[in-house]
Amino acid sequence: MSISLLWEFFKIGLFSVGGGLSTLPFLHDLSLRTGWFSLDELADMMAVSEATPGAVGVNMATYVGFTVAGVKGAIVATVGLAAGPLIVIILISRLLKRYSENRYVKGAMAGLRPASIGLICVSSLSVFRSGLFGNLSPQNVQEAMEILHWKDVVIAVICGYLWKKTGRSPVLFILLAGAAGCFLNMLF
Amino acid sequence: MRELAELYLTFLKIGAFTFGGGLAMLPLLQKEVIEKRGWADQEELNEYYAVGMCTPGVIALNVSTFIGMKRKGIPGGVIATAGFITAPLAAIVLLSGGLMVYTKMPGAVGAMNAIRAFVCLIVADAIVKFWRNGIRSRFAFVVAAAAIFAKSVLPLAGIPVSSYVVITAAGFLGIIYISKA
Repeated sequence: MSISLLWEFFKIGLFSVGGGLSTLPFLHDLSLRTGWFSLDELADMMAVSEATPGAVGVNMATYVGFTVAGVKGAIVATVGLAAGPLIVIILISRLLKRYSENRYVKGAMAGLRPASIGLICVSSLSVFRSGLFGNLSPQNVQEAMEILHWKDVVIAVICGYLWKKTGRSPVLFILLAGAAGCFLNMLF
Repeated sequence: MRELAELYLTFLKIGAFTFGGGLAMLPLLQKEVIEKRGWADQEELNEYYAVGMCTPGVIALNVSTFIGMKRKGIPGGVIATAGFITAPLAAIVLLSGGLMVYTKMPGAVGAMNAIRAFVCLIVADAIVKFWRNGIRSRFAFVVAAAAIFAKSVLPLAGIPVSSYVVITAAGFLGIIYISKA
């Protein structure tokens, strides 16, 4: 298990370019391909990774590793994710400027970035589904309205409004949403 | 040795206080690396971000590696990266271990559901920003649309496409595009 975990995250590290969310499509694929964790668990990991210290992309790897194989898995997945980029950077570090201004590197990036954004759009759908409907997948609009988590949507919209209005760190509003959800759940 | 220890502790601290993505760590880097220690200047930091965007991997890790390497070569790069991942690793192991125990409690379920709903907004906000900054040419739009098509329509038609294939193909497409431009 450790070896395949290391290999999967080594690949993800090499193929996710840019921000933290760029690992999401690969984790989505990994969930479908291996069944190590469900898409609902992935949505939870996303939520926890946003609220814990560290970069989201790294945190998700750690969390997946932990879910699959405990503390050892967490370390293996995180190291696997960091290893590939580390090697690449060591190789190119002497020619930083020449590398980033290289015609072919620029060309590859011009293709990679929009593709990564497209992949994120699709894989984030399962995060949205999980956020709106919990573990269920509605088959039509009527069913969707019945199982929609209304309370949570209202909390999210209020927190989102406050977040954009104050411009403070989203972490504060994650905690606020959590507190509100906990409180409402105890009340009703 | 002392310098490596300082490098490790500095990035441990930066990792512990960064929330979100690579850009979220920028103010911390400016304070700890530029102002307090003078390990790099703003111009170098900008360059690391620019190159970090074009190298594989999460930006936050890449920038940590660059600064570590500038300071102490290859061991420095490894140590800075290790420092950056230490605190999040510990936090997630403790937190998710705790979550497994506490998720059975009613209040915790309510909290987690509300957080999941709010995280949708964070993700949507990030996607809008990515799209605005990253999709600026007709070529970029076509590639993004093709990626969406490959991952949403093709699987429905019984043709699953791996994200690795999409990324690799897009890289080659970009090279062909720039060679012809």
